[in-house]
Amino acid sequence: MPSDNARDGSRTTADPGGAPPDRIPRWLRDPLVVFVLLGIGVFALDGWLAGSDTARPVIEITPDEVGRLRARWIAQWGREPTEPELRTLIDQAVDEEILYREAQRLGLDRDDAIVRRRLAQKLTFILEDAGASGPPSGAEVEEYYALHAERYRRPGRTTFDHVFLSGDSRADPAGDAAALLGELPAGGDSGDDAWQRLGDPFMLARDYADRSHREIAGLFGRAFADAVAELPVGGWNGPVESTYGVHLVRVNGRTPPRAPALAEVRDRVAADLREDRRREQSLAAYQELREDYEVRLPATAAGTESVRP
Amino acid sequence: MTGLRLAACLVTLVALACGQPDSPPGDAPTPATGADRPVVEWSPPSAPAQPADLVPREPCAHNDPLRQAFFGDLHTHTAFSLDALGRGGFQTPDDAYRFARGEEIGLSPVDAEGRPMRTAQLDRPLDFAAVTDHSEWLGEVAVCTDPSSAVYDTPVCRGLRPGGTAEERAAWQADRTAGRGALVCGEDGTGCRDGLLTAWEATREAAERYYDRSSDCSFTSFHAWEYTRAPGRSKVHRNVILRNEIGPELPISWIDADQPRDLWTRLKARCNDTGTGCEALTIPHNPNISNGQMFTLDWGGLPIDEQRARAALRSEMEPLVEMMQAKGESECRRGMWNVLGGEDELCDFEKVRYIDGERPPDCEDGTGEGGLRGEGCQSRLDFVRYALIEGIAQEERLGINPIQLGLIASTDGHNGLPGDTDEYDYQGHNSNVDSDLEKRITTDAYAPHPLRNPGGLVGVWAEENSRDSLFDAMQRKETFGTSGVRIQARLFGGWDLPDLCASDDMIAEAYETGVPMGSVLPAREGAEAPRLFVTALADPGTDAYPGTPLQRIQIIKGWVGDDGLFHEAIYDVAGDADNGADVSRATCERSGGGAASLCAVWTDPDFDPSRSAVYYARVVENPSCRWNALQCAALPDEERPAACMAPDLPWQIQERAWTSPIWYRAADE
Repeated sequence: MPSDNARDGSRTTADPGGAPPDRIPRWLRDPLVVFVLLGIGVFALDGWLAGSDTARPVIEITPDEVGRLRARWIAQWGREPTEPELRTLIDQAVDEEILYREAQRLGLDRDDAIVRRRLAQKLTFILEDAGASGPPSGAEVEEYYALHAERYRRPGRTTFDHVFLSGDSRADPAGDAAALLGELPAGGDSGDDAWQRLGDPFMLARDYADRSHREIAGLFGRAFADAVAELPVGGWNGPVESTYGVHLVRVNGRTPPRAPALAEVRDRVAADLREDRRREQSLAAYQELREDYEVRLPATAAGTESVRP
Repeated sequence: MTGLRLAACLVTLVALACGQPDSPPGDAPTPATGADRPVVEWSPPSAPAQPADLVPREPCAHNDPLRQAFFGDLHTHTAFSLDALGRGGFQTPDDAYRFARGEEIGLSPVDAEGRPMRTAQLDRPLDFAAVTDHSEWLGEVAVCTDPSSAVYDTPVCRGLRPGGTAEERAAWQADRTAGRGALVCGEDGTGCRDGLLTAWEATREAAERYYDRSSDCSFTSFHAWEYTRAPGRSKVHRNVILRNEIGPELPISWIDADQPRDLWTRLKARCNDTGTGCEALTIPHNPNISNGQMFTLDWGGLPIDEQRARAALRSEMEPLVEMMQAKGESECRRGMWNVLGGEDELCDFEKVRYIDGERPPDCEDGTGEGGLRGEGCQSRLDFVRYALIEGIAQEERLGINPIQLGLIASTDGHNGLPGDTDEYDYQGHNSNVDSDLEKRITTDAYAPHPLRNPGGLVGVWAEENSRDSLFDAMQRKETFGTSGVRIQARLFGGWDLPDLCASDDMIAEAYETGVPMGSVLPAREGAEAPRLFVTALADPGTDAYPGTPLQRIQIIKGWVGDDGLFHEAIYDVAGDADNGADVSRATCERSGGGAASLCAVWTDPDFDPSRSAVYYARVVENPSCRWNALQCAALPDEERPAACMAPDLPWQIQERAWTSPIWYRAADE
């Protein structure tokens, strides 16, 4: 389970001698939720009692509630509260409850962005917890991979040689390149390495193996990468312009884009699946809730279908 | 799985982070006071690295023995960092790595439904990246952002999170000022130790998820964190980078390791000396706001053997320095105390102190405090060039150079955007604090935002894009830094280098006849003076923003004179400073000449064999518009913030790259 460490760690300070924490859902251990639930209960009781006109609303602090106040104190201060401190805590809880009820009666909770978000956040966690599941099975990973194969696709790759003519030092590098093209063997005779002594000195390599479009663009600029992608395999071609000048290029081979075998990418696929699933389940649970509402939006708020990034 | 939970917490925190511009603006988790803070080791202390087999990987399809340039960012924060969270950040380490690999991620602010209102995506993905969240309070953030923790709803945690009241924030400040806060962590600190473990594991899991171990070698991640010591609000921060997935149980912070040397001894004990395959190195950053504290060696009174031991420790653990990042460039500054040499006008570049032209007082041979707030004196050691010369001075005294640093640059962005260095679409680094142009050119928090920049990149010359290959290159300092562009720069040194610029096989010959940058020259044999071979390629750029041509290459030389003063000399060795290139402030259109590539073999004309010297190359582009000018120019007149025309705002820059140095050691004579 996620965050076991954090939870165990906090439990040791927060719950000394409390109820076995594992039986209580995590969200119910949160003081704010407890207060809200408590508040809702008391509010209902209040409404019911209000029918009988004369009765005053009741606030009852139970021994359990006192236990919780004490535990919170210990969590914050690291020691038992003294008797007067405990009395103050109880007084504060009663004050808070009265103020809370009155605030709720006035609808203040509905206007407060922080309260609204905090409650919404709380529920999101409950929904996510409900959706949490174990590691995906092999079949599930396979299915997910088939569905999202595009994401894991390996790019096409090109193997090429080039002769460089500097744009900095030559007046007409393209013209020189065209002239030089005549001196190079027309066929794909890669056994002859005379071409390696042609052209101008250059910091980069003269031959590149299995480079993707992105890698070629990173080395020579996008225009060069685009042009090389269009060249036939075998034979010298050009001139092809790059950031640095012009080139004569011989493409020796291409590998088309490919989908890797699942075994090559299984870890990444499984991690993506778990992450997707967590988001989806949270979203699905939310959608279920949302169906209970009719949502009306202003005409200008187009495309507000999605709920969360 | 722990990572998913923490990530989910942060995503849901977006809503709370929204619309809290009054959250604490401080830039790094900074202690209220300096050395008088309590140092508290975890109980139990972090376990050392455990022996483990590395996760197997395929050999890279592209392995070039002559080495290729890989571009990356070794300094990025996510909302796991306290300060990033406080500014409305919500990115996780997963988000940061996804961004580095080219995916689009969301940025603050968020709308009422919690949806990010901005997005960001790299035009060119990075080859490698490291998420370096602050190790200080990493556990506290984890505990206080997890609604299932018992302290989540306490005032002190509300004060840690954005949106807390002034009283709650004070409670948090009081708690953390006491060292490891008992309110958040419990008296024995167990809560935060567990929280730290959760956050660190989540960070490590993310790094593992995005490391490409296939033969494609398309992306490398590093396990890393930032050690954020700031005595008297002077930066002596360091990033810790691990070679591979074998690491100590917990990251080390200044709360448990007060001094940088405590960090290094712990890293040795828990990592480098464990024989487990664990290996760490550290990279300091922002000496420019350290008031001399980053590189002042305060060992003067110790016995010489102890001084040597400390110098050796430093030299062993710290091979690199960040030359530039979002909070300024740290290369050089004109007119520093006891530095002699020619005027270097290119030092006037991306300085965060000060916008009005007033310079801070000089620390001379002392140190000051307050750099994080733009206060205090400035030392020559706040600049890497002079720190390198100090290293030579120390070496002449001790026989060991404790400041023998290779050069890199990175971003230090605080919203999970490694490598987001393009000037034209720089979206700020601090979430809600600098989320639009007007804020970016007016927000006056320390290191005022108008003076900040999109940050730099690190270039590494390595055989292949794998952790081992890149880490080896960092260890041998075959690295360079750029101001954010993708200039490729190489420097070699030797005594008898041929005319490599005319060679058909220049790089192979350079390795055969010389040593690459990051090296010490071998002992002199006959030759009159050292020769340096330097070559660089312009950044091709992208369709959205084509690269700017190169203007020139310079060799910078530093040494200690017979007068005991620091000396610098700058030589133009290739290109032309007067090539007629220009840029328009109104349109940002670039015009004029420049070069796509430059090359030189240069012999030091003023070589004195009796004086140790350090040499590095600076490759400079033609002028172009700074981010503020580009973004102001792109707006129609009526939408342009008035501050766009502020006369003091620098608007023009010359992007650049710095190679790691090559050293000449007179003692080898």
